[in-house]
Amino acid sequence: MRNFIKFTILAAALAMAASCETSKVPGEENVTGNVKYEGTDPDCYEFAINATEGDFNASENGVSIKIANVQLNNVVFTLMPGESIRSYRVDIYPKAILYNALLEGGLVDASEDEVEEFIISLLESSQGSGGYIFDYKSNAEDFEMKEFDWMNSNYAQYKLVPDCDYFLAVVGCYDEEAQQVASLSLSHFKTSTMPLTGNPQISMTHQESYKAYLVTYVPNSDCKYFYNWSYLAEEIDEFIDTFGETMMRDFMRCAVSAALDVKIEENLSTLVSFSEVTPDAVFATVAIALDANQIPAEHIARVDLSLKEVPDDAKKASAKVEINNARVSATACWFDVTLDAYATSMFYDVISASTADALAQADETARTAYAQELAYGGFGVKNENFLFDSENEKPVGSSFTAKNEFMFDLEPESTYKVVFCAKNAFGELSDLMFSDVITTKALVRDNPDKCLCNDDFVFELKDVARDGWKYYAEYDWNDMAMIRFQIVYPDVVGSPYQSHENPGSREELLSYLFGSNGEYSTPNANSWWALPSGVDYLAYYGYLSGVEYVVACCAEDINGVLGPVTLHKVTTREVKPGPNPSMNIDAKISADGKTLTCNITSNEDSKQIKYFASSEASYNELGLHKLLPENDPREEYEYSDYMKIWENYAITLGLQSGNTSVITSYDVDPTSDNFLLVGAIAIGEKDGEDCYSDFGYVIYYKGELHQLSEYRTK
Amino acid sequence: MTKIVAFAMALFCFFACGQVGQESTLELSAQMTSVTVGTKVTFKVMNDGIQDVSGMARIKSVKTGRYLESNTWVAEDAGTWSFVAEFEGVTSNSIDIVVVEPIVSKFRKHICLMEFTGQWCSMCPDGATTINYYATKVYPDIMHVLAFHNEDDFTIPQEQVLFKQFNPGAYPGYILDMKSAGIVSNSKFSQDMKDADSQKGLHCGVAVSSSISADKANVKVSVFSEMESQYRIAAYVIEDKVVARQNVNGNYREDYVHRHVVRKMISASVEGDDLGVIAADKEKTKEYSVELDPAWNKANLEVCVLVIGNDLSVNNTAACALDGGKADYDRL
Repeated sequence: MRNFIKFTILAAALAMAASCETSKVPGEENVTGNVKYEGTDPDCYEFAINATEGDFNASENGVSIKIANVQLNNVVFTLMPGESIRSYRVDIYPKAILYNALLEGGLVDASEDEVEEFIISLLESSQGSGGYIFDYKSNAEDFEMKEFDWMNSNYAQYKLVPDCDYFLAVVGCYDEEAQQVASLSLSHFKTSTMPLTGNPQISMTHQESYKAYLVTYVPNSDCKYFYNWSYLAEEIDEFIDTFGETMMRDFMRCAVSAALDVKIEENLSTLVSFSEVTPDAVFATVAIALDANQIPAEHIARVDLSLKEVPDDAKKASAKVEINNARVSATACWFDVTLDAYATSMFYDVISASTADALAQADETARTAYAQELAYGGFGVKNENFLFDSENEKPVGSSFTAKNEFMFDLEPESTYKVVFCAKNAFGELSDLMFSDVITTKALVRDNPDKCLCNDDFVFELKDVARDGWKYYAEYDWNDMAMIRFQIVYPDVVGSPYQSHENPGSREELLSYLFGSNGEYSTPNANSWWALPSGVDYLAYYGYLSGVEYVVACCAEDINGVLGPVTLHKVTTREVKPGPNPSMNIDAKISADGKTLTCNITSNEDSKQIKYFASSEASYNELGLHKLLPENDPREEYEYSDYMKIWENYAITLGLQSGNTSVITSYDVDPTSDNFLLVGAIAIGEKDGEDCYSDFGYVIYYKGELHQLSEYRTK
Repeated sequence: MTKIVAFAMALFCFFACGQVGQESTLELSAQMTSVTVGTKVTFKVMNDGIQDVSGMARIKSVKTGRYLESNTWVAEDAGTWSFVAEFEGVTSNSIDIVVVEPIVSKFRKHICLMEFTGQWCSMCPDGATTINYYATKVYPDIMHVLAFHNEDDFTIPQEQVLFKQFNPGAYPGYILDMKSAGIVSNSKFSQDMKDADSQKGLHCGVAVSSSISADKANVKVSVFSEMESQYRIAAYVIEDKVVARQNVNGNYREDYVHRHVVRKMISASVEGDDLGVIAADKEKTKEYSVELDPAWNKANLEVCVLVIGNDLSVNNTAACALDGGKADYDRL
């Protein structure tokens, strides 16, 4: 590659030298004042790119560019189309991204015309990279001279980062639809920079397994942000060898949407996993450290690695699926899954029997692809008895059976099969396997009295609050298959329930429960599959207060018979805020000392409770670091300061509830030296203005509850 | 040999071509050239009028001969300070920064808090609750809230002008004294609220009165300056307690009470009308005549006046009822 690059630069230099002698510069013949872009990085292979450095003066068949202002993260420029131009497409490409696209497009050693054609095709692309079109008709006022404050507009695809090369590309067109291309104007600019704050550096450690690797990033104290990129080492080598390390640095900063903040822990590791890996493949992860202003360090960091090799004697995993024929209704089925000792997990889906049969006959490539899709997006069961001897690279656990896996939303009177595969410790997937046929029953809509659930099924709306309630269901598991329910009144689109006097017929309500409103792909109804426990519930808060709702509910038994559609009325409690809101926090520590539960309650004058718990991030802001003299011997806050700060925090940053009761739980550690503060305030209303209760709080410290007065304050 | 020489010469010619006949120009400027002690001045250096080299140029104090560590400078002593910039062998023009001792204002600081909201915005009622807390409990009588609405029944064009200029980031958003902006109910808002009533930098008082006749309001604004400074006035008509639709946590309510709805801008722009320079201990007055929409509830209308100083932020604020209201100078 090195020899090749030298040759190409020499050829390009000769071409440029020749161009100097003949005065050919970017733009058309007879246009003066353009300064040709030459490139500045000696390590970078430069494509035969016909661009100016800064302003571009075009003829009447092009668009002139005047760059007014280049900043750290923005550029302001004006476009002036020539007389023949009726529309143009414009975009800004990071040089690193453009050059990578040219490299991928096989345009090394291409001519200027070929490179120009490629860039025009980018501008014309109807997908992501296409340029924005401006035409004479829609922009009559400023078409002749339009200013762009690029990063403050809606047009920027790529963000502008400091100390980075960009190409501003505009193709003028003769027609208003931007189809008849005239000529391309291409202008290079480089965003400004500022001195680095400190010496930001980042290093990496890595852990490999058989089908994945984990890279952990270790920034130094000056490194506040970073970018990273993981790929095949040879691809990264090709990029760096061709364009230099600086371009790799810029590629990362431009290809990734935002710099990673080192303060966010989840940013400090990357897990890269594969479905298939080429043996001996070498991967590389590169990273660039940024300072507090997101100015990049000069050099990138890099780590190369290979995955662990799967042992030659590794056994494939296997699993079995056994259909529970006693539990196949009209729309649901149940089955048991057994994984062998080699399987870490299995993945499944329920598909039509005909599709399953076709899949079983498909070639290995198709079956392998399907297995990979299942592993990525299917339902799964983990082998809870799986154990692995890492030293000898052998599984040493046992098989596992998961009972009562299920699938619902099946079509009545249809045939299905469970398609599944198993995965071993080395990430290898077994071949596809298939269950016996499942035949769903007919859905019986017109004989509700015959539903097996009628005697035992209880459906209630309990614990009614201001903005919701708890849905509660109880039934005999042996009889129940599915419960469907949904709000049908008031103001529900598509609901047949018009009023209490006109609730709709059984068939209309069933059609609503089994239908969808067209806007979403999911059915109207909430669908609960039967659980072996025979009990299910869900509390939901998000409804309007003081409103009467009606919920329709219908059970499907294990024979596919739909029971009666029952209608359940509930009225959420009204909020009548008053002038004397009050609240109370009742805090309890669990018997094992690991959980603090706070029941925050208010009176009916309260229209809202705002509450919070302290965290690592808010600890100092809340003054908790000053509560003990040994923690912070400097001057204490006044008692009233604490109250003010805590109250402000509750109002500004607290969570809120429209109910008069909120129960929250927190993990606590009696050995920790840190306090946990839970605070709350209730908001009422007086003469149309908000009014507030006293601020209430509880302090947890070393296994006990405390008050502020126990600690030193001024 | 001849061929190699020819190639090298060609290259030299080529590389030289771009340089013949061009001189670089370097321009040094500062957003503020008249500041008080303790103010941070930010310099800007433009190369050839195109390239912002503020981060790369070296800026020197002519008086001390020392170079600044960055493109900012904190005025520590009163006096006139001259600066030049240097970049790639070119020296810029010289500019003077006049630094005066800060005055201790005799007026009380009134806070301008712009709220950015929308009827479609489910989290905005919570933001309004937070803002109301600061306006009624923490800073009663001195915090003036202006609620700008986005893409709903109460939208005015100035909402987007201000939002784009200050970029609060999301809704509910805020702009404090046209200086600091962000999202209501996050830690930046909490920090900004802590010192919102600080007297630091205050150097003027403002009085406003208003009366309504038919569908017109006549507003009179007076500004008393405690130091010589340039001023601008931005003014808005606000209607409080407008009952209308609102998305509250995902559910629309028709009876929601909207507070502090900005109905109309009275001044020519959000940057304010130029009042010119007011000398120390002098006063200037401006009057406005405002057409009112008959649909507005006159009893709930008020006018809010923002006095904008040299640094383009709100130095002080005042508000009064539009119908027969009056707010005198609020002196400490």
